[in-house]
Amino acid sequence: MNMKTLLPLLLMFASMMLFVSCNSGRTTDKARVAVVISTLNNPWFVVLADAAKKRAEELGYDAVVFDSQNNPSKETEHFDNIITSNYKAILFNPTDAKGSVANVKAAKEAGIPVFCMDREIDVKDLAVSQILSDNYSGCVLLGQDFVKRLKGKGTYVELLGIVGDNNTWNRSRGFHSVVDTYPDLKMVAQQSGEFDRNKAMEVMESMLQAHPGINAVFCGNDAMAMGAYQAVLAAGKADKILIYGFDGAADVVDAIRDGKIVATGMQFPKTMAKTAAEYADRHIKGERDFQQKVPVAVELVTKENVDKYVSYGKAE
Amino acid sequence: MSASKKYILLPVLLMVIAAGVWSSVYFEPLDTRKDKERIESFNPREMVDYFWKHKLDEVLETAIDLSLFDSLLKASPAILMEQHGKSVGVTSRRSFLVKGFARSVGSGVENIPATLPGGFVRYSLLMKNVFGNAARNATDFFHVDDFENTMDFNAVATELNSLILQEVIAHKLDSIPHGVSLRFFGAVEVNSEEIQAEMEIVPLRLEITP
Repeated sequence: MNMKTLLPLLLMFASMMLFVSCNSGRTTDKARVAVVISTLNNPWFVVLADAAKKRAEELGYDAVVFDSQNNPSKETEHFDNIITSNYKAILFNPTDAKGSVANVKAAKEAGIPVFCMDREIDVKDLAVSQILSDNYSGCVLLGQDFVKRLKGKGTYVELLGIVGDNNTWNRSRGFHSVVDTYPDLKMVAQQSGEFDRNKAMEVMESMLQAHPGINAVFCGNDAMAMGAYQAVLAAGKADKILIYGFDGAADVVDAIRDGKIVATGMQFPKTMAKTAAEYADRHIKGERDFQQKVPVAVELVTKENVDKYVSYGKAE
Repeated sequence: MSASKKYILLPVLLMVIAAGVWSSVYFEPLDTRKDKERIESFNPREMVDYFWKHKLDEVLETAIDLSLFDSLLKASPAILMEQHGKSVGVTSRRSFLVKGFARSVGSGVENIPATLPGGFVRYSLLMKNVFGNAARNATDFFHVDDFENTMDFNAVATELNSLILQEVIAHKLDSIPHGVSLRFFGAVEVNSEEIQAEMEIVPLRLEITP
């Protein structure tokens, strides 16, 4: 055999070895888990994403975070990519209770289990499990504190979150289940601040112009509570209007300590993310018996107990 | 048509159009609208009424004596939580069905003390508005996975609380004479991380005893 015939054979052999080596490398690669988050433009969801990624990595997976930017079409694009890219599970924070259903259905049909975190979808039996804050109970606690501090009378406004998100309504209903039983407490305006600080500030400014004599504002999240506080401060009413939030964000925990905000409902995003990642791991390993809905308790944080808490959790 | 008539007619026309548009639309709060949409497909009151009429007796049979509850709470809280506590999801709170006795203390009171001399905790029957999930969870009849979404599950808690207020608390407050002995069945919630010295029991049934 001369060199002319040997060289192509050697090259072919080398190519085959390279192919085998690449493939064997791929088979030893870690399985991938997708973390799809409604928006990373809010610190709460950044904590949720980081905690889910961290726990999935601790469990031996490669975790990739996708930001849906609060845009259902962006979320669909992510799901399309994930479905064609051999992911083993999706840890999912939906953009919309109804609008995200089709994406979860597509993933299920492709054999990829979905575990919802914090926000739910409005259909049963599509996601393997939905791990959610017990918003309703948390807002019952806030409502009871609200009534106690206002001595059961006065006027207030409410800043709702995103209208298509069930969390918005669970929070509002929990709060109203208490407050509405006090006839001398009157809600004079209710409007969406879309869970956004700037939007909430704008809405609150308008509300203050229309209702300058209000005694309190109930906000569906902490970002809106901070926006409302800015508007109230600018109007020179910071010592007259009680502000309530929900989440347990760092700036609101500090504001409660400083007496700027009265109370918040402390959520535990790390617990939700950790539980979702662990459920995904158990599912990948063959377990199939999961509770469909797993509410995670919310705790009331006020000036009296704020030292027990840090942002999005309890102090160690 | 003269120019002056045009100037008169135009504002009149605009007012008529504006009145037409105004009368063809109406505004309502967002939460009211949401409630209407949900009620079209789900009726929590019907579900709670069914439970109250047909299942409450069966559920109350599982209630444990308040004295047993109290002694376990003092001696072996972990066993009490595990064997008798009901919870939904990840929480340190557990709900229990208990039964015991109390003595009425007259109208206008918010709570009636339960009779348990030397108890580890002081218990009283709640005789005002009922909030939260203690009653729903303690019955262990309603399960979150049976509902399309958590809003419906929570609506059941609200309706059950409202029914308790109407059928047990308001009703009995008017009819119980001062000083009579009462047998009660009720729901109590315990935070296993922070056991309180005083606990309120949500009454599910109150009976005057001889």
